[in-house]
Amino acid sequence: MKWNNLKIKYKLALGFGAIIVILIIIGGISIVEFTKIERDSGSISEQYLPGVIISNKLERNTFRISSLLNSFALGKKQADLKEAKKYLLELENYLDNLALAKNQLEENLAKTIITSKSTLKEYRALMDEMAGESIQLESNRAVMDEAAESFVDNCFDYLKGQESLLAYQIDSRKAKREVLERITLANNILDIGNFIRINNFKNQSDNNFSNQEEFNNRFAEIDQLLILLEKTDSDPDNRFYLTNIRVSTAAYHQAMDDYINSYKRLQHGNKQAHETGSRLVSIYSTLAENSVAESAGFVAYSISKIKDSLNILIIGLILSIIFSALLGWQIARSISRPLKKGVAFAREIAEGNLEATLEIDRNDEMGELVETLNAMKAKLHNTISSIQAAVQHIADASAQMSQTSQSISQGSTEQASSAEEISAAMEEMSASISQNTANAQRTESIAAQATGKMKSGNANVMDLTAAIKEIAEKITIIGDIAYQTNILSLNASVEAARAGEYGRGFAVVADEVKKLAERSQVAATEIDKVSGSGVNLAEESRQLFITIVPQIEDTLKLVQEITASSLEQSSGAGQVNDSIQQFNQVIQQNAAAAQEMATNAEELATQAEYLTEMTNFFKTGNRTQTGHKKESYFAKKKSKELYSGKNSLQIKSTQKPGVDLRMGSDRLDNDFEKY
Amino acid sequence: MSDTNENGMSHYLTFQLGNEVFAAHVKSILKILEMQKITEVPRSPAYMKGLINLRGNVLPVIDARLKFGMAATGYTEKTCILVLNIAIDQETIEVGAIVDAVMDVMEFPDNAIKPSPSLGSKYKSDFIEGVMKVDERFIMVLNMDSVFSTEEIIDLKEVI
Repeated sequence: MKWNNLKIKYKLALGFGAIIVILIIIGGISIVEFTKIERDSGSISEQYLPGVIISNKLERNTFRISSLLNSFALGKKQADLKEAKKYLLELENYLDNLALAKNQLEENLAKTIITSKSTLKEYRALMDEMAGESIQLESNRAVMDEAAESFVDNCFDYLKGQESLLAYQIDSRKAKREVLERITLANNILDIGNFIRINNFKNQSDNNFSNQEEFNNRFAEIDQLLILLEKTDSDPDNRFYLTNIRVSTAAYHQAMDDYINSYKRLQHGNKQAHETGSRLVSIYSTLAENSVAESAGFVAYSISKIKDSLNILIIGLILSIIFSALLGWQIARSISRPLKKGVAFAREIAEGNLEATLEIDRNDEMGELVETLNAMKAKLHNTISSIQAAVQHIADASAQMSQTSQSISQGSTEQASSAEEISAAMEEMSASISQNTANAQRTESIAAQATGKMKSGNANVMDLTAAIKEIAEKITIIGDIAYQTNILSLNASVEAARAGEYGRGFAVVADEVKKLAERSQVAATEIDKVSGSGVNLAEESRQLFITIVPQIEDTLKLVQEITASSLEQSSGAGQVNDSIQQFNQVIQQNAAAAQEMATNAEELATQAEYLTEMTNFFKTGNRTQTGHKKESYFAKKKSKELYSGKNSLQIKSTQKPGVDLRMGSDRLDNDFEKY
Repeated sequence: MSDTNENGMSHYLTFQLGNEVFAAHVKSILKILEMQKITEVPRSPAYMKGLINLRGNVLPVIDARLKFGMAATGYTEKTCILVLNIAIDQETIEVGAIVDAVMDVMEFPDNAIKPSPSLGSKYKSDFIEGVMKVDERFIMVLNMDSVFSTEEIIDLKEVI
């Protein structure tokens, strides 16, 4: 179907329907997209955020453990280690709990938990190692302290011996220089020992044992000094002290080495633990980063989706706005254009141009309107044309009417004389009708008498029939008696025969009786037959009477009707006479009317001319020309007017005899005149 | 015929059945009755019409037309009942017979009765004594004693 042929309401419905469909599609897409985004945001909170939170917690704990271990390695406080272990345990438990809920975990997180658990095991082993090492360190320090004490003691023992020796020598004034030298040497040894010890304490407090080589050199110095002493001192006691000093120095050196080694191992363990901790931290931070990265990815995906939806929405809205605008424009155009044409068309018609045309080929409401307008125009065209034709006819007819009114006037005169003749004839008719009435009344009385006689005759015949019937019945009884008598006579004959010779006389009597009976029977039969035919005849007569009586009664009625009719005719004749007079009057009126009609015909012609002017306003293609006709018509009319005027005068002169006739009419006419 | 008078003449009662005229010797006729009401007897032969009251005695009545194998017709005012006196085996019995009409009592010489073997099988020939010709008409003379067989008589007696 063509767009132009669609009805406007269907166009509007289609347009708005299309817009609604577009809006529904846009809305549907938006709803689907936003639902997806909502679901993705949910997955961020359900999957990726837990990863971040867990990894944060793990990382934090690992940091805490690492720092505790550090402080333990430096401060050697068992409390730190204990706390670190506590956190480790806590961490392990936490991971175990997470692993129990493995099914709900994201794959990445689960993997992380497994690797971090094995790493945690290593961590724990390192911590145990460190604990052991710290105990070893403590024992080494004790040994070292003990060795240092014995070294000092031995040095003091030797010094005490030398000093007492020196004192003795001084006292004995045999002081030897070599003793003083030995004391100096011994003091040097003691000094070196103190230096080592002080530095050792210092290093312990600094946690820096980098100057171990220096210590070894110092111990080597002590050894050289001891060798010098041993060379200078040959005293066995002193030699014993010196040996002691040497032994304790060696022990001290050994203990110090052990302690340093132990300390280094502890530090090494701490370092390893630190590395392990760092590894854990890196694992957790990777997890956190991954989670964050994936969350970020999802957020970016969601944002892109939102952007897509927004784009679809915007495009859809733009499309629907464009579509609506186009549709609106189209519909408005489709309404306004034909309306404009229609208005122009209506204006043309208003200006009287009935030949204007409106051509719009459409099947919608506009098409209907155009069709209707065209039909209206056609109808108007037809009507105006008809009016114009009719006006022509009226003009012609008014001329004819003038002529006709003249002939009517003439006719009226003839009518008046005819009416007079009719009146005379009616008088004669009235007289003969009266004669008829009298005759009919006489016939009526005769017919009434005849009817009465016929009725009594009928009753007599009926009585006669009844009498004859009774006779016939009586005769039957006689027949019966004759039959019985016959049987009796036969019985008697039989008896007589049986009696033989003695019954012969009786037989003769019986025979006679039989004969009488037979004769009676024959007579009865004949009477019966005759009375039967008598009854039939009487019946026929009765039937005849029955048919004749109503006929005579009908005759009587007819005669009565004739009488009534004659009377009515008599009065009717009077009425007819009266009517003729009225008729005459009417004829006069007719003559006057004919004159008036002629005047009216002129007026009519004037009106027809005016009407022609009016209708000529409309352009119909067949313009009425009345100008020349009108002139001829008026020429005719004038002559007619004179003619009719003369006629009316004529009628007036003939009216007089008509009135005279009326004066001479009978009683019935007078009655009629009152009306 | 034993009941002939000295002139060799006998009296016969003539009656009608259909178009035929029959004659019966007056010795077997007791009485002629008009048709009257007949009381029917159930389980009796078709010709046995019933019983009537005859001066205080019961009289069985038969239809002669049926007895002689003629078609039954309705009764008319001429229909009569003949009261017959039938002698058989030294016994007499009174029986009523319905006939269409009774005609006359006539006297004929015995020799006027001519035997008529040519009647054929229409009537039982043993109860027809002969035929008489009167006025160009034939009258069948019946022996009323032979009309009823012994069994029929016994039946009639049983009815009484």
